Amino acid sequence: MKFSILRMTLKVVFIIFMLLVMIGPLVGIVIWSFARVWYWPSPLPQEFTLRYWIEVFKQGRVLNSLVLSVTIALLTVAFSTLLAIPAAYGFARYRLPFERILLLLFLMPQAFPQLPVFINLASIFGRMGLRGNIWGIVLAHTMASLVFSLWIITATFKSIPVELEQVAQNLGASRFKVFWTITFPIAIPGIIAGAIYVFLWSMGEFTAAFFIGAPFIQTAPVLMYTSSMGYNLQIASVIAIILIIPSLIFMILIERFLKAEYIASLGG
Amino acid sequence: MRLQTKERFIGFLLVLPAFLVLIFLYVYPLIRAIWTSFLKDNHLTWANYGKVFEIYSRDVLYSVVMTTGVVLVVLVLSILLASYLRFKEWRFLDLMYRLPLFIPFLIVGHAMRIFLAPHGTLNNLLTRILRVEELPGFSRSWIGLLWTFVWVMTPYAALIVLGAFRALDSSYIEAARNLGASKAKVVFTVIMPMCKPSIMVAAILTFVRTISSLTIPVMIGPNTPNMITVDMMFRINFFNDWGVANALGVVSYLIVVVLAVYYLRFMATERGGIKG
Amino acid sequence: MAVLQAQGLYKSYGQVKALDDVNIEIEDSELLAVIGPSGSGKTTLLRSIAGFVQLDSGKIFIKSKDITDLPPEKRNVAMFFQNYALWPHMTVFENVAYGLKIRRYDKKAIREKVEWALDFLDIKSLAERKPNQLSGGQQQRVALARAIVVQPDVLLLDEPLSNLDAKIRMRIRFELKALQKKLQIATLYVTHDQEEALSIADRIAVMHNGKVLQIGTPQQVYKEPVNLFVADFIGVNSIVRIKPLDKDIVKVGNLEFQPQQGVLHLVIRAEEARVLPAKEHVTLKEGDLKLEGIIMGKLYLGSKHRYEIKIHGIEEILFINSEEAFKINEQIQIIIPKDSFFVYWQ
Repeated sequence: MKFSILRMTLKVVFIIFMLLVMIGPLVGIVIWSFARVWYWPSPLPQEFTLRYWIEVFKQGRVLNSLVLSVTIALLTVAFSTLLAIPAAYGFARYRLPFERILLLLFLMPQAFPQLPVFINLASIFGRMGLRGNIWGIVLAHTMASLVFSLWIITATFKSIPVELEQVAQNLGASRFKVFWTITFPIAIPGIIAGAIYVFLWSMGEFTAAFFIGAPFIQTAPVLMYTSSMGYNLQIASVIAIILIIPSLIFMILIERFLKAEYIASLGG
Repeated sequence: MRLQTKERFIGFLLVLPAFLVLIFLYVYPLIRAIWTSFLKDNHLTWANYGKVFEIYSRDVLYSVVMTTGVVLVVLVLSILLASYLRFKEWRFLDLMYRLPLFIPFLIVGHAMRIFLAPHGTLNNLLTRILRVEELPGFSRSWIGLLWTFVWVMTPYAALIVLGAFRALDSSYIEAARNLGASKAKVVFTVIMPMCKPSIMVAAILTFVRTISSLTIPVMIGPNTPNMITVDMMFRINFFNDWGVANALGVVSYLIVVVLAVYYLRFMATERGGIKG
Repeated sequence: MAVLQAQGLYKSYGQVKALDDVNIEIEDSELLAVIGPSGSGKTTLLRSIAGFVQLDSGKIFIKSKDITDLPPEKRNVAMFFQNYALWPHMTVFENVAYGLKIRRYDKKAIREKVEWALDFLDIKSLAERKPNQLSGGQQQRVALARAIVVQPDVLLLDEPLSNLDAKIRMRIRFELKALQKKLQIATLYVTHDQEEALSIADRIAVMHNGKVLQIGTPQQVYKEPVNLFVADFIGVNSIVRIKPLDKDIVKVGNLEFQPQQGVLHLVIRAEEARVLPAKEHVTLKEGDLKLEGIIMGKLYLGSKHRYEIKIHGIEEILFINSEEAFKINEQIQIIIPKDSFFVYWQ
């Protein structure tokens, strides 16, 4: 009996600790997003305000940066997915020359430090007039996110039994017809999952947007960064919350699919 | 034979557009990075690397030590988490550890700045509980940087490790338990050795993501010493010095390459030959 | 007139010869079963006819037309896949209609033909369901309907019954045979189950290591196997190996054999052998084999026993089933009719 009381106490302490460590940082930004005046050592702001939230919906730099980020993310998703679908089909169904080297190449943008590539891309784009231009950011994001799309869509294609395609071919359908009537429809859920992941990644990406977007373009993360560094903590917190929400929704949505067992294939 | 060649050609055509994008937007800038790192006043020289050695050798060391520290802490936490969740379902913990999974690093950096600042949310709470006037803040110190890295990196690593643990057939574990091994003993003698490749992947992934992160050290790291990514950013923003910035970039690449080679050799011995 | 002719097919994967000079023909409305252990090349043969395997050499003709170099979609052969391969995103109707749509039939014709096929296989009521709502047996019928609705020149069946449980399999065998006769489609039927092949096929081809060892009616293959492998693969057998001691003559039971190169292999059809008490008097017909031995062990199998028998003078163990009850260590004799044992030197 005594043992179980000790256990209960330990469990409660652990739960409080976890909540503090995991949720605490998020609670902090939520409170800051409503703060008007907040002096140490008051536990909560002295005055609350909705002013910074209203800025999100009013014409101005917050709304502009959000619209810009969404635009860039949507364009990135479109390019990344369109490039990845044929490539993923190639990897899943054909024997390619230098297959391992190709795979390594596609993996490199995410497996190696990105910063050196992004800053040089910025200087190359600078001479092409793509610096300070949303297309420059879209191109950089497409390149870096290609591996996500490619990985998820290739896995999806590979999970479709070859027999499903062979039957169709056996019944007289050409390779192209087989793809459009059989493979693609079955793969749609995987393609959508890949697209959402790329969208979220692009929305939150800072480094490329910062170096390539400078000096005219401010995506939401870049605006958040400058606000946070300039101690404009309210604006930064509002943007942070807006950027977190889609991620949390996505996480709940794919809760069923994001089984640890599924991720384990990464290790194999 | 003729048909096989045709097949390969079609496959290659399918991959070609994506391949070209990578060549122009990844490989070309990368080569340019290496090239520029040897240029100073339009002369080929080692001067930039000399400068890296002179000014930044402490930061390079700091980056490697910090990253290694992060990897160690993350591995310990992941294995603890994964071992617990392998034996016991606990939805609360399952949900909590995955929370940071999709939150962009930049936002984590901002949230931690507010949370760990000297007058931040954490100290606000702690001073009240401990009934003291002031507590030191962790932001802008190596503790805050380590804390934040561990906070964002653990979910990924734990997901991979737990995945491997769960994929392991229960009969291996039951056989050991049946012979009298405790749960802890089973983890150390059966589960961990059998899941070594996955633990390795988790470690490598954590290492690479940590050492190449810019946003977290720039938001929360100390002014000096700091991670090399921050140095690269300042070199460009304040000095417009692309040579040294790229030399730093090449150094960070080399660190990862050394690791990658080590990883491939580990995998080769683990599997008895490199396989796809 | 043969519908399908395969002439001199060769295919190797590295060192392994999957097809080694394979020649087969299938007559109109005939069912040819290809049997062999796994790795014998039977599936490679089927897939090469469907066009999924690129041959090293050889020619395949369908209705006298050379189809060797045609891609899979240009050959009018319908393949039935072992795992059915029904498309999960289409209803049963859409699955069956797919081949007709590709062939650009008009809507009305498609509806009529699909309904005919569903009716033929007795699954009309399932038309609007998705494959994951069907049982294994129903899925099998849908896959079959999808294959036959396009009126293929040749039907290729790849282990069609292997995913069904044993009880249903027995019933489906009869149905499949009746169906094939009604449709009169030339059919190539690949299976590893020799009993299935014996019961369903018009002719059987036995394959081993990429070679066709024997082609013939089920009776021919069962009663006159051409070599040790075929004899052993077909039926339930027990084999005795005897190394000739002297150079003159090898004596097995009541029979004598001239020694040849190698070891004498005696294949006994275990179902046909009779086990009797040693003392009982039997009159042997010309060529029948009589062995004497002692019961070493027995297993109870329900309607009969399986006996482990040591044969006198040979020191080899035979496994033979019998309905009669014997005790361990009892002396017995085994009578094997003359067409139920085979002798090979190897």
